[in-house]
Amino acid sequence: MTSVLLALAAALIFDMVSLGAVADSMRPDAALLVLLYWSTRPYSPANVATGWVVGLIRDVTSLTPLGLDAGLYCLTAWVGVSLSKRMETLPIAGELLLVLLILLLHSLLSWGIGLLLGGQPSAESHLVAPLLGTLCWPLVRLAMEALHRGAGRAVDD
Amino acid sequence: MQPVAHRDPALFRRGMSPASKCLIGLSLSAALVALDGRAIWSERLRSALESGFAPVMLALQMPLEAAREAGRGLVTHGDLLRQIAALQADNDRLRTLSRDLEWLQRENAELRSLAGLASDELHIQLVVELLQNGRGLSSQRFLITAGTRQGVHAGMALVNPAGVVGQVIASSTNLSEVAMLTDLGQNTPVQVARTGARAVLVGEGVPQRTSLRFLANNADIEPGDVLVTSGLDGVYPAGMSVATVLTVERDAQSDFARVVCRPTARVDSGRYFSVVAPRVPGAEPEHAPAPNTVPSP
Repeated sequence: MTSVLLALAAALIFDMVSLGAVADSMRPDAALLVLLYWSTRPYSPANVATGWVVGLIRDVTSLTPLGLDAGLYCLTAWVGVSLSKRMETLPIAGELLLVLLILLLHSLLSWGIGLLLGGQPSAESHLVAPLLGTLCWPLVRLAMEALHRGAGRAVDD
Repeated sequence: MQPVAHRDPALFRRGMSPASKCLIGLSLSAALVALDGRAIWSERLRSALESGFAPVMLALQMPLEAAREAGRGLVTHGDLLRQIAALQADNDRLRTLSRDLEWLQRENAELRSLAGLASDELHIQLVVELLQNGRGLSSQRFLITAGTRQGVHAGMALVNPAGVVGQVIASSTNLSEVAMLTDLGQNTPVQVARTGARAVLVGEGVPQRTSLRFLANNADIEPGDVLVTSGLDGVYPAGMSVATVLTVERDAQSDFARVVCRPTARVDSGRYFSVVAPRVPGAEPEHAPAPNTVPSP
């Protein structure tokens, strides 16, 4: 539980740090990756409500209309929870493909809503961010597993 | 895999099916998006949440600012000498311009008093620092480190030495949200400096790009023309540099010309901005020095 909260808080803080206008538009969403990791783990406490709360925080920190990211994160968490059993049986290549599809779905919805609300969202950045996110997935997985093991040892002690 | 936690708090407790939770979450989100900026409680909710996260965002700025300062410190003696020479040259040029400007301002004030017009002086309220850039749909918005406590309210204009940057659209206690000129649907009344023709500059939600609306197809405008504030909205003082015309497309099928412009001020860079109080006829703007903001130069 503590490890999930810590990981989400760290990811949200990382997302708040500006890397410059171009890098910010292309960077993978750390909070989304961490949320996806925990929602696809069996017995994980992260669920759809966690996704909604994390999304709402993202709405506030990224100045997007309230509820926009909340809905998208909630949907992504639901997809993650629904695919958690299938994800467990997949080899790493299959897992990466599934993560790419989920991230692309999230990005496509975000792009579509942007168009619906009258904006001109960049198609390139909505394609690059999921690709980079998928490339970062093994790192996120390693970091989360290490965090989980660390938290487990702390509980045992 | 072992369970991550033995006891789940309310936020993580599983009860309803994930699909039902997702439906509820999506309905709530849709309601929030629909009411965002329209209902007063929605503004209060955002303001409260922003105030809650303000300490985290301000704390994040400290190490970043320290790193920036450290980066600035790594310059060679030669670089410093070159910078000093460039600044001295700039200073000489500005002093000359300043003398001309003082004379022009005096003459302008006299003419305005003779014509019975209100003063159009720039009343800088305070200097503020950028805190957080928006992302995605709100990439043309940002947060500044001053709010209602420091005397910053919605409707105030933000400028920098190059020209107009944008307008404060919402304020909480210690933070304010600013929409840049390039923000989607942000309207700025302008006039072409060369001809005096009036039009409305509209943001398109794209960095460094705006367009002119309601400018007749046969209007005298060409690439390179400078647009300045017309002062008609009472937000921006008249005559401030706003944008430069990039392209002009005239379509015989349309009544209006398609004019694409680039803001004069680099609205997506720069960290410090001056907040300008709206011009209220017959009223002197209040001057509220802010404890956590940079003093006005």
